[in-house]
Amino acid sequence: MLKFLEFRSSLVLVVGATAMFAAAAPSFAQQEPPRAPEERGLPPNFDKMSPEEQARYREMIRRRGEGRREGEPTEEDRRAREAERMRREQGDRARGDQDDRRDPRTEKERMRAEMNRSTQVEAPADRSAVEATFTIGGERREIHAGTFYDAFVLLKKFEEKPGMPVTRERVFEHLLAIAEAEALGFSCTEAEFLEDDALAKNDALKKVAEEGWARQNTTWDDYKRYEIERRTAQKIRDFYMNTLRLDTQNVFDLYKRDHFRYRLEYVAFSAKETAAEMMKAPPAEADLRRFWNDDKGVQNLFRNPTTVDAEFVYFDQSGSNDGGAAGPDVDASVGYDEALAYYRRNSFRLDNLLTPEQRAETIPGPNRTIAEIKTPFQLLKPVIEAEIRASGRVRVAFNEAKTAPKSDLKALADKYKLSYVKFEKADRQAFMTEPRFGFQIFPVLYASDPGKLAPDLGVERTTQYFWRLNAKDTSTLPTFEGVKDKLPPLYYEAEANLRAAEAAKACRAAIDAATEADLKSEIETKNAEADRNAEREATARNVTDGKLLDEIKARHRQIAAQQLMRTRNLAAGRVFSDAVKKLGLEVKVTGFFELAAPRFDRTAMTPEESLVFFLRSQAAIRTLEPGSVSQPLNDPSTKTHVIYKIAERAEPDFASISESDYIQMRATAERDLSYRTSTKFMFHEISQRLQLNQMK
Amino acid sequence: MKRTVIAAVFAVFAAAPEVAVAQGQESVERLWIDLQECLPKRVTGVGRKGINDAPGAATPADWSKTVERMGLVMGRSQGTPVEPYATFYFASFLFNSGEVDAAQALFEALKTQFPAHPLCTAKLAQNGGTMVDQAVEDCKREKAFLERYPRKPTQEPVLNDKRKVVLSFDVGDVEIRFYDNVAPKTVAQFVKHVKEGLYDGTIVGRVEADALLQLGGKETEKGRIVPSDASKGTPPPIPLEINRAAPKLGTVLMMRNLGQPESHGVLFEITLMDYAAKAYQQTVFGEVTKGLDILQAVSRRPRDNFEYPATTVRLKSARVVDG
Repeated sequence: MLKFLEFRSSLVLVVGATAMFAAAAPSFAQQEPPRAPEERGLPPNFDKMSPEEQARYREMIRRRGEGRREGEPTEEDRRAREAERMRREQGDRARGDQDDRRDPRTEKERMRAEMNRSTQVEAPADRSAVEATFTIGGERREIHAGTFYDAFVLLKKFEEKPGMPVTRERVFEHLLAIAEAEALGFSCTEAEFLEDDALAKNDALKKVAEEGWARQNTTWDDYKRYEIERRTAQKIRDFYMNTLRLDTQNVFDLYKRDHFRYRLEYVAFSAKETAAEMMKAPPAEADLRRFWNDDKGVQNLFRNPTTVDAEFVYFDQSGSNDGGAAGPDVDASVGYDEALAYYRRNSFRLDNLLTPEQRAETIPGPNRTIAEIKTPFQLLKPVIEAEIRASGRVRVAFNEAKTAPKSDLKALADKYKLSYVKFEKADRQAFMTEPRFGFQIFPVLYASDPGKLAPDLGVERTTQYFWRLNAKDTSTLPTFEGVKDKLPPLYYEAEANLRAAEAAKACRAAIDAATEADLKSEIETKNAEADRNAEREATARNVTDGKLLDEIKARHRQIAAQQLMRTRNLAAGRVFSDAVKKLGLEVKVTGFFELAAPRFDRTAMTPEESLVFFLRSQAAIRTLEPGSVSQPLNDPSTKTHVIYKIAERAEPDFASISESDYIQMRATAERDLSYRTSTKFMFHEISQRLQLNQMK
Repeated sequence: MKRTVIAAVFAVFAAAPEVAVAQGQESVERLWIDLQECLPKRVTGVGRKGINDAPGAATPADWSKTVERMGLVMGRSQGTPVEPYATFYFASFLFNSGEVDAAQALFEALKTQFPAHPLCTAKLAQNGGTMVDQAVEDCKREKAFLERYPRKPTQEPVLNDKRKVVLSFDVGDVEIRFYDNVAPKTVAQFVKHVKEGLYDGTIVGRVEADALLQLGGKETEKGRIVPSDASKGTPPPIPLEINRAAPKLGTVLMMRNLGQPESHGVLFEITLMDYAAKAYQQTVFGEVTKGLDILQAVSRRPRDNFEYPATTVRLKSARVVDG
C-alpha cells in the first residue's frame, strides 16, 4: 500500500477514492451511523419504550422545540424546509435554472459550481475538420476535431475536480505533450500499464472503481486509454526535468547578480544637523501656531481620546465559561439535522476551528483506511452543539435586555450563565486588549448614543455578545496655549526634515541643470532630428491638421527623450561632483560593498555606518548603470536625505566564492532551472514552442 | 565508489555483445518502471501547476546519489529500446554530479551506437538541434568554463564519531553527532552553547507532525523568534555554512535570521522528513543518531495556538560527550 502511495501520482488516489466514495457513499450526511437516542435528544431508554410512550416523548420534544427560541423553526418546520429546499434544488437542476434569487445552495456550493463551469466542447459535426495545427521537428501537423473532442471527454472524466475544470487549453496541453513525447520515441504500452497500474493489479480495487465509474458512463477501456496517454505525457515531462544540465556558468551568473561589488559617491542632508542648527534660536510663536494648526498628526498626538462606559454580555466558546452547558428556559438537546444545518450555515468559520490533527483525520493517509476518514462535521459536532445551546441563551438574554433597556445586565448574564464584563472610561486602546469582541466594534460602539443597546448580536470567531453603552466622553482637542510648550521638539524635527528634503531636491535640481548644460548641444541635435522626423512623417501621410501635427511632433520628441534618458543618466554622473561642490556640500565616498538585505534595527551602528548600510540595502542599485545618479532618498532611521552616484561596479571573483555560497547558488540556480522546465508543458509555453495555431 | 560504478558501466557499454544475456530476461515494461523510479525529480500532476504543486521541480536533487541507481538500470537495459534513454539519463546525472568528461563520452557514444534514434535525430532541443547534440555542446561549454575557472569539488558531509551531544528531554534522551568538516563554525557555536548551559531548561517550540521540531527557545519567547543580536545581549548570529547535506529524517539545522544571510546561532531545528523548502537555505550541521522515535512522538502531539506541543516538552539539560 505504501509503495502504491509513493509511486502513483495523486491522480490514482483521487480516481480510486472518488470511485469508492461514489460507490459507497452518495453523501456524507447519509454516511452517518444510526444515532443513539441521547444524540437525538431522547432519553437513553427511548428505544425500549412502547410506541405510545415514544409518541408522547416526541410530542413533548416538539413542544419544547416550538417554545424554546424566539423565531427558531420547530423540528418539523426544519424538516419541511429542508425537503422543500431539496425539491427546489432538484427542480432547478432539471430545468437548468440558475436564478440566484431562488438558488437554494449555500455560498460554498455556488462558488464550487461557478469554478466548475468548464469550457464546453460540443461534439463535432465533422470529426475530420481541422481544430488546430502545430509544428514538431520542422513538420506541420493537424489536430482534428474528433481527436480533440475525444481527448476533452476523456480528460473531463478523469481530471475534472472541484475548482479545476478541464479547459480547451488543458486539452491542447495534453495532445501536444503526447505529440512531443512520441516525436522523441516515448510511448507507454498496454503491457507496461498492466504491469504497473494499481487498479490493474488489484481486482478488488478495480471492481470498486468500476462500480463508481458505471454511474458516470465511464469504462475500464476509458481508464486504460487515459492512463496510457497520461503515462506517455509524463515520460516526456520527467525526461525534460531530469536531464536538465546545470552549467557552472549559470551558477556564476546567478552569483554575480547578487554579489556585484559597488562603490558609491554620495551627498547627505542630515535633518538632525539641521535641527541642531535651528535649536540655537527658539521658534517664533507664529511658526509654532501654524505648525499646530496645519499638522493633524501632531494634533492627534495631543488629542484626548473618546472614552466610553460599556457593559458586555457574552459567551466565549474558547473561554472558561461553560460554553454549551444547560441553562434555564432555552436549553434542549440539539437535533442532528439542526446541527448539520448550523454547520452548513457556518462551515466557513467552523472549518477554521479544526486542529491540524483533526484536519489530518479528514483525508486519506498511509495509516488511515477510507472507512476511518471523518468529515469536518463529525469532528466539530460537539463544538456545534455547544454553540447552538449557548447561542440560544445569549439570544434570549439579548431579547430580554431589549424589552427592558435599563435592566441589570450583570444579573441577566448570571441568569443565563453567560459571561459579563464592564468597561469604564475605556478608549480604543482598552478594547484592543479584548480581541474577543473583534475590531469592527469600534465604528458601531463609538458612534452610538449613551443608553443604547447593541443593534444586533455581535458574532466573532468563538464569541457571541451584545453590549450597552452607558456613557460616552467624546474626544477633545486641547488649545494651542495648552500644548505650545510641548511643541518645539516636534516642530524642530518636522521642520528640519522638511528643510533637509528641500535641500536634497535643490541639489538634484542643480545636478539636472548642470546635466542639461553639459548635454545642451546633444539635446538640441536630438530634438531637431525628432522634429525633422515628425515633418517627414507628416508629409508622407499628408497631414495638415494642426492638432494632428502637434501629436506627431510630440511623439517624435518623446522617442528622442527616451533615447536621451541613458545619456542623461550618465551625464548626471559626470557632473555630480562639481555640481555638489558648487553648492558648498561635501561628496562622501563609500568603500566597495555588496548589497545587503535591509535591517530594521540599526541602533548598534554609528550614524555614518547606519547611512552606509541604508545605501547598501538599496535594491535599485542593481538596476542602475555605473555612473548613474539616484533621485533623493529618505532614510527615516538616520533622518537623512541622500543622493548617490554609482562610482564603480566590480564583478566578484569566481575563485573567491566560498563553498557555502557555491552550494547555495547552485541549489538556487537548479531551482530556477527546474521551475522553468516544469512550466514547459503549460499551455502558454508548449503552444508557443510547437507553434500551435487554433482554427477557431 | 562512484568511479567504480562509472567504470563498470562503461565496461558494460563497450562490451554490448557479452551482456546480451540480459536480453530476453529483462522485460521492457519492468525496465521502464525501474528507470522512472530512479528519477529524482517528478513533475507531479497535470495541468496548470505552479512550483508549489510540483515539489519535484522545487527540490534540488543529489545527482551523485542517483548516478549509481541509474547506472544499474542502464546496464540491465542493454539491447532493449530503453537503453538509449537510460544512457541519456545516466550521462545527464554524471554531468550534474561533476563528471563532465564521462558524460560527454557517453553522449558521443550514443550518437555512434544509435544514429537513427529520435534522441539523435529529432530536432527538438532548445538550440534547434537534437537532444544529444545539445548535450555534447553543454559538456564542451562546461569544460571550457571549468578550465578557465577551476574549482575544487565540494566536500561530502561526514559525521564526526568522536563527539556527540546528548539532549535530555523530560520524555527521554536524544543523541546528536555533527558534520564538523562542512559546518565547523556552526558546530563550534552549538557546542559552546551546550557547554555554557544555554539550552538547559529550554522548551520544544513549533512542531509539525512527522516533519519538524524547533528547539532552543525559552518559554517566555513562546510564539515568536527572538532575533539573535549581540547588541541586545543575545548571542550573535553566525555565518551560513550551507553544505551538501540536505534536510532529511533526523538532520539538525541551525535556524536562519529572516531575510539575512546568516544563521540565528541559537535556535535550531530537527527535520523528520525530506524538507525541500529548507534544502540549501539553512545550515545542516548534525544528525540525530539516537532517540529519533522520541522526537517523532513529540512532533505528533496535539498543538496549541502557537503550534507548540500543548503540553510543554522541556529540554532539561544538554551535555557534550567526547570520545
